[in-house]
Amino acid sequence: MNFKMMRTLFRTDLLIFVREPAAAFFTFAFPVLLLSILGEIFGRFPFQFTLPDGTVVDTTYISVFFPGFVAFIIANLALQSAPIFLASQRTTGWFRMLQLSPLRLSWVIIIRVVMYFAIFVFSYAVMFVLARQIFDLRFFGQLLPFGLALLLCFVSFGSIGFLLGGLFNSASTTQAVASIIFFLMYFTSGSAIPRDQFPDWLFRATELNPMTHVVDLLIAVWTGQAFDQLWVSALVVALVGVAGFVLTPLTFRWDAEG
Amino acid sequence: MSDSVIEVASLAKHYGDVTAVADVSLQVETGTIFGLVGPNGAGKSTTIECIEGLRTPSSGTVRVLSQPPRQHRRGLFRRIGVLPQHNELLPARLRVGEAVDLWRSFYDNPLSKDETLALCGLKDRRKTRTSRLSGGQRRRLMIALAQVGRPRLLILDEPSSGLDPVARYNIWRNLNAFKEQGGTILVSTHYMDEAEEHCDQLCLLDHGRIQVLGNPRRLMEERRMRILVKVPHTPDLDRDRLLALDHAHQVEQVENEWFVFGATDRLYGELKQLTNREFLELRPARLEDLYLMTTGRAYRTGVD
Ligand SMILES: Nc1ncnc2c1ncn2[C@@H]1O[C@H](COP(=O)(O)OP(=O)(O)OP(=O)(O)O)[C@@H](O)[C@H]1O
Ligand SMILES: [Mg+2]
Repeated sequence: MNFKMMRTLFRTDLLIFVREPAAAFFTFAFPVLLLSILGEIFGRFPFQFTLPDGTVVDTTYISVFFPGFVAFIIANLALQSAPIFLASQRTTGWFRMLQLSPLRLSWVIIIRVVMYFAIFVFSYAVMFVLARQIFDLRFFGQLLPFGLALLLCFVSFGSIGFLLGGLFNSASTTQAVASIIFFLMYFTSGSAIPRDQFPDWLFRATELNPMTHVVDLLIAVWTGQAFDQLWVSALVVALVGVAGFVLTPLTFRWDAEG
Repeated sequence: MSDSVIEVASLAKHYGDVTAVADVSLQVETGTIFGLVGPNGAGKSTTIECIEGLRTPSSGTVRVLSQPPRQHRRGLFRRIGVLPQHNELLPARLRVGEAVDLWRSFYDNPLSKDETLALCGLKDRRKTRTSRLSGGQRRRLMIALAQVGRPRLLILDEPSSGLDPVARYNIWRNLNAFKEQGGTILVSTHYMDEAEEHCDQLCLLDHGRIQVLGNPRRLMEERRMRILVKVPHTPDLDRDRLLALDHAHQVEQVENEWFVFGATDRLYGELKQLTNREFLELRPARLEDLYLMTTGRAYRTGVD
């Protein structure tokens, strides 16, 4: 274990990440903007739901909308930032350069995941504080299940991000495909527009979207729902993660030339 | 233990129908500078990347520090420093100092940051993004990164391409100093003149095959090529007549001239007499003349 190497690699990764204007904007500024605007529109609507023990809770819409924002952060990091970052670094030859050093390449992946996790935690904290201050966000669940659900979603979508990052040689193809997948998933998941506003057929159809289950799972644990209310979503998210973990090693490449 | 740091035997590499390298065998001895020289597409980078273990040879064997490189990548790269041909490999948004920090973190006993920056002459550029460096500055940075881990062996793919004469001079001074301290260098280059000047051994590659292999001075001496006299074509001159001269040892036809090589100045007098001319062009023979002799092609167009 070489902590100096890990620390330096982490810092290098983070510096390159935050200096990329597009990634930094979509990761740090955009969610805040989105939360402020959508929160202003829907956030203060009165909202009622029932806890597993039958208690009816009166709150505002932000408290069921906020977990959807969290899903946005995860999906943006995992499905946009991670694959584009990987593909562009592969095509510019940075990974080839690292291959010419004694660095164990698996550290590049591990440190990258740790970096995304750190960014995620930071983003989450900012959004949480913001939503609490401005819109009176309230949490009705328990910390452990919520933490586990967050981790599950992060790991599952993250694995898909690394899968996407290895599929195409060109950075621009990766960018195009990742963006299409991200926006399709995002707009139909209930994260952007609440799904109870959807017509029935669309509501059914969007159950095929894995991100829908991320949103549903996070809302369910946030509002303290019982396990029988959320296991289907949890299972779908977990299966997506398994698929990612099985397929990523088959597609991942360090070198654009092979 | 042999004295060879790198041993390549019957190396071949094909890309589909393209044969990039065919039957290359060479040995790099400890404490020497070994030059791979050849024009674009000769197979220099392919050979080097097979030696580094970045590419799988189609056939043949490679040993670096007595080990097959592909199985021992990390152990090997602790002891060797490598410069890839491509110059744009560092992330554009990384700063010079940060790249040095990262590279230093890979090794147990690296050069200090100041030493590294001094090696590439970028002490006052540590805050500059690598994308804002000139091509030559970036080249120097990459060469310094290859040396950060205090390697015993450097494998450099065209360290001097794109550099101005001063930078080229500095690079070679740096590499010669590395050799003086017992280091070994495998280096590729387009430039015959620097290979001739600095390499203890060199290998002229063309179309993936070794044309000439050996010590540059000895190679020229063996062929008794010290001076070159250029003789314009005339109907009465042919190869046999030229070679019949006492002091002419090699003759090659280049466009509308004969290149006549010999070991002494007396060749010049002989040729003047033969051609009845007051002046003929005379210059020292160079390695690129040897390339011309072996491949039948001028190394550069418009050979002077
Ligand atoms: N990945 C590849 N796929 C197909 N052909 C390749 C590949 N890499 C190199 N080649 C071919 O192999 C031959 C040798 O290339 P190589 O890069 O080794 O030459 P080089 O001597 O390094 O040339 P240069 O001086 O231009 O760097 C060339 O004909 C090249 O087109
Ligand atoms: Mg090359």
